[in-house]
Order: sequence, then structure tokens, then C-alpha cells
Amino acid sequence: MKKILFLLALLVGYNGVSQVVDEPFDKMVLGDKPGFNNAIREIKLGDLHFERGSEEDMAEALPHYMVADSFHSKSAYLNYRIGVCYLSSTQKYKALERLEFVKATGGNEKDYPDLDFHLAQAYHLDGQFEKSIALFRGYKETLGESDAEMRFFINKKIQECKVGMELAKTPVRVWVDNLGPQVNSKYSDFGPVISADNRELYFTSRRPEGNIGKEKDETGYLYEDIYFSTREFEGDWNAAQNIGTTVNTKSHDATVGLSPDGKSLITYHGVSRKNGNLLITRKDANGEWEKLENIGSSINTDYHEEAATLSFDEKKLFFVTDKPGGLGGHDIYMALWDEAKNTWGEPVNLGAPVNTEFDEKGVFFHPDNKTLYFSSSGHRTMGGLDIFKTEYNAETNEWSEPVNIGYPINTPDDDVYYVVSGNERYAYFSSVREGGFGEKDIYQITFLGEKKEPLYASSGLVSGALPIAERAVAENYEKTDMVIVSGQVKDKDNGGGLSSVITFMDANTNEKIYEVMPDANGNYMMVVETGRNYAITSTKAGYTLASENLVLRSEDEGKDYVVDFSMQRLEEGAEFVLRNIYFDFDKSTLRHESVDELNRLVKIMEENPTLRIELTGHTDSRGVTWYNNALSKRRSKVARDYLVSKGIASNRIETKGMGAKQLEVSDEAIENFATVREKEEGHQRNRRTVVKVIGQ
Amino acid sequence: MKKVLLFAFLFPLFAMAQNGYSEEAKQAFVQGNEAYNAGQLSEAFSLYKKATDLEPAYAEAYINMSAIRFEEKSYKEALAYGRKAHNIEKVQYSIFSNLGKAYFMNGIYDSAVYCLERITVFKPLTDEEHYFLAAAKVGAEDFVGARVIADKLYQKNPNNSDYNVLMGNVNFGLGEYDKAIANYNKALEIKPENKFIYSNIANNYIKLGEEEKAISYIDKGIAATEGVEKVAFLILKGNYFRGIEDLDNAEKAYDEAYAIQPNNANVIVNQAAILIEKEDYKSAIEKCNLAISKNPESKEAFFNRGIANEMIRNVEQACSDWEEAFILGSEKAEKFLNSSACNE
Repeated sequence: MKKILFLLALLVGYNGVSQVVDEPFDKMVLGDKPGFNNAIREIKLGDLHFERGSEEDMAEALPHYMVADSFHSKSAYLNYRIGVCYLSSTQKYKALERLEFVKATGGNEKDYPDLDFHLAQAYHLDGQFEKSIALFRGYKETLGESDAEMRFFINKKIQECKVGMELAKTPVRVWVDNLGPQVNSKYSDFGPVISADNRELYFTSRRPEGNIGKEKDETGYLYEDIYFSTREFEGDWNAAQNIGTTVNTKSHDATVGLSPDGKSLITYHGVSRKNGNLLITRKDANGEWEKLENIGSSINTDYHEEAATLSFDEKKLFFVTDKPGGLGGHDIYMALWDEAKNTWGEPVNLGAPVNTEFDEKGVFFHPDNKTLYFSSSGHRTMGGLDIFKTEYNAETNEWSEPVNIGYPINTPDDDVYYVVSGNERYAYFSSVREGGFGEKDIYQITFLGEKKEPLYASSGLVSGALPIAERAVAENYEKTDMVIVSGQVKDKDNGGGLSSVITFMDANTNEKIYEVMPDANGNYMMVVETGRNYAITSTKAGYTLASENLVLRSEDEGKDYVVDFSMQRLEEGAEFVLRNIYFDFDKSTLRHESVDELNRLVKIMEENPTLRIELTGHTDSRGVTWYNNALSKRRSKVARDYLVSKGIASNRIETKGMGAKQLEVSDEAIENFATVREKEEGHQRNRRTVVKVIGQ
Repeated sequence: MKKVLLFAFLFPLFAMAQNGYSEEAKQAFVQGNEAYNAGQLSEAFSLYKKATDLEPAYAEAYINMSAIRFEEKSYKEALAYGRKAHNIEKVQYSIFSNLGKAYFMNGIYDSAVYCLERITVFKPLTDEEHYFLAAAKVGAEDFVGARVIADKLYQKNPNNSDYNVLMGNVNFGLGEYDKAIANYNKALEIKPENKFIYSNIANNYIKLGEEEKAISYIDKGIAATEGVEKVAFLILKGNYFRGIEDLDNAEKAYDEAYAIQPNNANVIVNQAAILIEKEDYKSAIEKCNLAISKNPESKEAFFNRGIANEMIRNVEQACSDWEEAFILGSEKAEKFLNSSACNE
């Protein structure tokens, strides 16, 4: 018989049909087991705290219950109490399993009057919004007329669940990563602030490693200290270090805000439970933090100033306080830097739509100088405090309606103290999550942006395959030293294409090598032999001359060059450059190869007999200023003399020398050119004669 | 202002052109030309091969080998030989002409346009070259540029089926779908055996939102074609299903196409895209790798591999893939490259 029963038990177990049964701490059943009496004692100690009901008491109760739980974990009573304690702790996610156990054992309203309320909260925190709403609604039915406050609370929770359902449908594409053991510890690590370039991270920690005071507060943990970590370009965060005794004291020191350049750090100093102030420290010229100082009497009050952020130019300070006169709870205020008084001016409450009757906390002003991130329990949250963003419109002097930044950044639990890198790729926050190192850890959010849709190759439009009409059989190539030159001739005034005449002259021999007419749109393309220095000009009646220079060597073979021209109608003010006027080195003697371009200018002057021009000589930057000035002046005069020798009246030509004052290619640019040839070409562009029409 | 253009398909020069070929090589080349002109393609190819074995920088021989392979419809080889010739000689009429057409037949349209446009520096383009240039411009989505050329060809011979298809393709690109359908129908009237035209008509109906008509033309094409010709219709069918978010049927169509033509990079790219949509990123990367091995200039393959690499958190490689896709002409990749993901 025993064998049959054993087999049945096995089968039931195998099929997974096991009923959850409450197994109370019954002396008749468990009394013989070692540790029973101790477990009962721990439960009683836990109950003492639990019945008092505050968060701190729940935190006190939980360790006692956990001792009893390690002895026997199948008691509905104990699981219920542990579940409720977890709901008040930082490890809220652990509550659901406990409360579900109680429900599964048949735990009812009579034994556990608030079970559905707590379970609804646990479902809410676990993101099971529909189950949560059903339980909240059921629980609301049990409330009496006098429970208006609870009814209000439950209605808000139901609304949060609805927002949660909505946000969960369209999650933000992010990765959320624990920053790892280089930054986090098994103690509480929180309050991250970063520099805009994402290279410096400061945060608050209660770890013993490096802690300055080594003393514990009433919670049994060490006083908070500020730590920092740095990273290189594209690198990981380095091992965190205590910021040191200049900033950290024996008491609580916590991060609040960091200026975008990482050189001003705002910290929080708790005076009492209800009074906290903001302090500031700045890095000196050696990169060392200076002594902390009160951020300003206009900011700190006898109330709770707890979060702050500076604008990029450090002229605006946003901070959070619960001082009277706000819209309710903690509100966000802004103060402007008063240059004259060298202090912060009188703060102004940001008002609606940013602040609400509920809490606004954890403010962060992005380096873009318009986006303000903050946490609120008053806007459309999916639970507790959610992070929102609002943008400032400088034209209307208004803040936009705050927008929930979405799930999974926001969760049904409190989400607060959130900072974003300057390029908006990363954000940091602290949270208690499964898989963390213990207590609060710092997490990094990586924004992936909009969903990237893959590309699909199309079978596309099919074209017919023309039958081969004629074979183009290649014979031995005769010429192999060619490049292709293409470009466009444009009317400088209207941007339209111009059909001009483009002439390629050999600048050394003044021999015409090629002549081409661009199409109606001003486009041209031609094949050009290498091994020459080409003076290229574009001419058209009634227009200025356009000139370029192109030196083609044998090693340029096969390259493609683009030479564009811009031409203007010959009207007063029109200006063009002669690039092929050559002088002997360091002299003002006109070289033979310059005459083609000057002859073209003569032609323009002849065709337009009332035209008056100014010739301005420019040198490159090599040589001393006075010499370059004189040389450029002499050279423009030589050019004028040539025009006069060709019959152009001298009173139609004025001359100027600019030396190297107006370089087309800067010395810095030339310095950055890779080859000697490029550098020389840069200097060549600077050596030019500018023709300006000064009368028509 | 002058500037040196970066040649879209610039290769390192391994040898400079040299006309001082050996007499033996020259003789093989001349004999090759005789055989080629006589239509003896195989004989000609062997002689050119002999010439290049003797003179590895014999650009003229390579380009004629390319032309032979083109005539034999071996377009990949045609492109490879064309590139070899261009690797040695940059500016020659026969290289621009043959290489341009080979680029077109391999779906590398920007490079095809580059080459074919440069023919003009030597002589006016033939009708055939104009046709390829216009079709390449369609492929490169320069529909306005394509229309100028296509119009001229069509005016010359309105009863040429291929010109009608070309006009249809241009009109499609310009959003004039009804006109395009009329062009295709006329092309079909002239050459009813050109079943590929069904796919062009289906593309137009998809654009017009007339999905039933589109799928009927796709199915008509699938029924009327055999082997490789069916692939274009299967891709179209897959894309149609993807458009209505029926990923399973889309995948089925691409898989069917892959079974017929496992070397078709476009088919593999689309298989990868489906895998990305199904969040199977590792398999998607493998598929993209395969597509790239089949067509190293598939911007879609690099683009998609970038997405898959990002999703498996290999962001550096993702950015490198997008950079490659950008170089190959993907504007979408440029957007990602400029995003904070690739610019810390």
C-alpha cells in the first residue's frame, strides 16, 4: 500500500499538478525540528516592528522574518508579512512571489484584509497592469464612504496602470546596462552626474572602500561619500575612486549636479530630515577641487533643497525645493546668475506646466540649453516618480507640456535622478534591479534611436537586354597619357549655366591646345593630355573673363578633374581673377606666357570702350610684408603698362597692391597639405591679379 | 576652382599602361581581333588570354576579353576583365564603353553612368550606349537625366520594345504610373515573349495601391517563367508580402528564389532583412556575409549587416558597415553614420 501511495505522489509531482498549501508554524508539525523556537521568536520580533507600520519599521521587521523564513518558508502568514515588507523596501520586485503564494494558498479577505491591495501594487510594480487594475478595482469596492483618501490613491494607481499599458506598447529602443563592478558595489551607489562629453562620472556611494568618515548613521550604513570614475574615448569606465577630503566630510556628502564642462560640482548637505542645502565646489587650474561653499543665500533655505543643475554657460541654475509658496510638494525653481552681485538672483518657481501639486524632483538641464529633464509623480506617470522632459521656447518664454520619456526608462517604481550625455546617446540613473550588485546600482542607458528598418533589394525595374548592334573591338591604344576634365560654367549672379568658349592654352608656349563649347547648361567634359601647364580661360561676350590654371604631369594620367567657372556680366562692381599672369620669381618682369590672358583682357577693354577697371596684385605669403606689398603694387602696374602698350588708355586702369593680405588659401591650409605639389598649388592660387570693373 | 574627383571605383595601379608590348603578344592580340571580328569568340578569347599571359598589362586584350564575356552574357566575368583593363588604363573609349555596360548588367549603376558618360570625350554615344546610359541612370535613380536620353531614343524608334520598357521605367521613376503601364503594355504588344515586363507592371500597380492587380501580374510572371527568370518575380512577391507585414510568406518567397539562384545577392540580402525583422541577428549577419561574398558592392548587404551588428551590440563593426554602405551610395547609411551611435 505504501508503495502505491509513493508512486501516486511521484506521478502527481511529475504532472506538475501540485496544490499550494499553507503550512503554518505549527508546533505539532514543526516543533521537533531544531530552530523552531528561534524562528517563532524572530517572527514575534518582526511583528513588533511590522505593526508600527512605518517604512523604517518594515525595514526593521524584514530581517527577523527572513530568519524565520530560512527555517520554514511555506507559511502564508510569514509570506504575507515578508511581501508587505518588500513593498516598502528598495527591493519591491521581491514582493510579488510572496503575495502570490499567499493568494494561491487561498488567503482570503478575512485572514488578510489588504492582500488584494498589496498584490495589486506588486502586479503594478511587475508591469502586470491588467491584473493590477482588476485587483485595485475589486479592493475599491470594499472601501467604505470614509475612505476617500484611499479611494483617491487607488484611482491614481489605476490611472498609472493605464499609462503603463500605453507606454509599454511603444517601448523606447534602449539598452540598459549595469555599469559593472568598476563603478558599482554591493552597497548603495546612486545619484550619477556626468560631464557633457561623457568622460567624467560622479556619484554617491555608501561603500566602505575609500570612505572618509568610516562612521555609520542610524540606518547602520556608512555615511554617504562622493566617488568618481573617468573613461577615455570609446573606453569603459575606470575603477571608481573617492573624490577626497576636500569635498567629502565625515557626514553625508552626495552628488547633485555637475556643470557640462565637469568643472563645477554641486553637492547636497543634509542639515536635518527636513532641511538640506546645496553646496558647490569648482576645479582649480590644476584640476583639484576647491573647498565646498554654500551655493548662495538666495537658494538655500530652512527647507529641503535637494537637486540642482547648471546650464552650459553656468548662468542658469535649476533646483528643487519644498519651501512654501510652491504648487505642492517639491517644485523646480530657476535662478539667474547676477554678474553685478556675483551671486545667484532670486529664484522663480517654474510654475505650470512643469510643476504640479505633487512632487517634482531630480532636475537635469541638458547642454543643448533648452531641454529640462525632471522626475514627477504628478504628470502622466506609470507609477511613482517618472522622468519627463520639457523644452524651453526662448521666443515665447514658455516651457512645453512635459512628456513622459517612456518605458523601459520609466518603470512603475520611482525613477529619478537621470542625466543625459551631451550627444544624447547615453543616460545614467540609479535603480535597484534584479542582477545588480546589491542595493542601488548605477545603470547606463544607451539610446538606439528610431527602429532601423532593413533594406530590401528590389527585383526592381527590369530593362530589356539590347542585342549587340556592333562590336567595338579595341585596337592597340595610341595615346595613354590622358585625364578627363569636366565642369560647369555658371552665371555668378543667377546661378544658371552659361555657354561660353573654354580655351586650353599651353602656359609655357602660348599655344592653343583645346577649345570647347559647353552645352546649353554650361556643362563640358573633355579628354586632355598630361605633360602640360594649362592656362584655361572661359570667355563670353558681355561677361567677365574666368581663368584657371591646371598643371598636368604624367603621374596624373587617368585622373578626373573638375574645373568650374563663374562669370559675371560686365557691370560696375563685377570682379574676376586672372590666374595666368606670370612674373619672374621675386621680380615684376612680365613673362612671355602671360600675354594670352592679358590679350583677352585687352579684347574685353576694346569691345567695351567705356569700361574702367582696377587691377589688384596679390602675392603669396612667403616673404616679408613690406616687400610683398611693394611687389604686388609693381606687378599690377606692369600689367597696366602692358594694356596701355596695346592701346588701352591709361586713365581707364587703376592699380593696387595687396601683398599677402587677402590670401585665397590660408597658410594653415597650405601647412596641412600633404605634398609639396599641393603646397605649391596653394601658393599659386594666392598669386593672382584681380580685375574689378569700376566704371562702365 | 578645380578639384580632383575621387573615382567611385578607384583601384590601385598595379601597372602603368605600356605600348611596348612584345611582338609575340602583339601578334596574339592582332590575331585575337581577327577572330573576334569573324565571330569566333572562343578562339579570340584564347588569343587575348595568350597576349595577357605574355604581357600582364595588356589593357586592350583585357577589354576585348570583357566584351566577349559580355556577348556571351557572362556579365560578372565581363566586369572582372573590364576592371582589369581599367586598372591599367583609365581613359580609353573602349574601356568606358565595355566597362560601363558590364557595370550596368551587374547592377552597379553609379559606376555604369560614370563610364558611359565619359564616352562623350571621345565620340558621340551610339544608340546602344545611350540606351545603357539611360537605363543606368534609371538604376541610379536619376530619372530626369534618364528621360532626356530615353525620349530621344523613343522618338527615333517608337516601335522598339526595349525603348518602350525604358520609357516605362523612366515614367515609373517620375511617378507617372499610368503612363508607365501604357509603355509596358505597348512593349508587350511588340514583344509578347518579354515576360519580365509583367514584373514592371506589377511594380506600378503596387505604387498605385492596386494590390490585387499587382499580385495577379506577379503570379502571371511566376507561371510564365522558368528557372532564373522566375527569381525577379519571387523577389517581387516577397517584397509584396513584406509590404503587408506577412513576414512568413515573404520569407517563403525569398527562400524559393534562393533555391533557384543561390548566387543572387539581392535574394540573400532580402533573406537577411527578414531575419533582422524576426530579430535573428546572428543568422542575418551570416546571410549578409554571404550576400557580400556574392556582390561586394551590395550596399543593402552592408547596410543590413550594420543593423544586425548594432543589435548584437557590435557597434564599432556596425558603423564600419554603414560607412561601407555609404561609400557604395546609401544615403540612409549616411544618416546612421552621422548619428551619435557612430560619433561618441
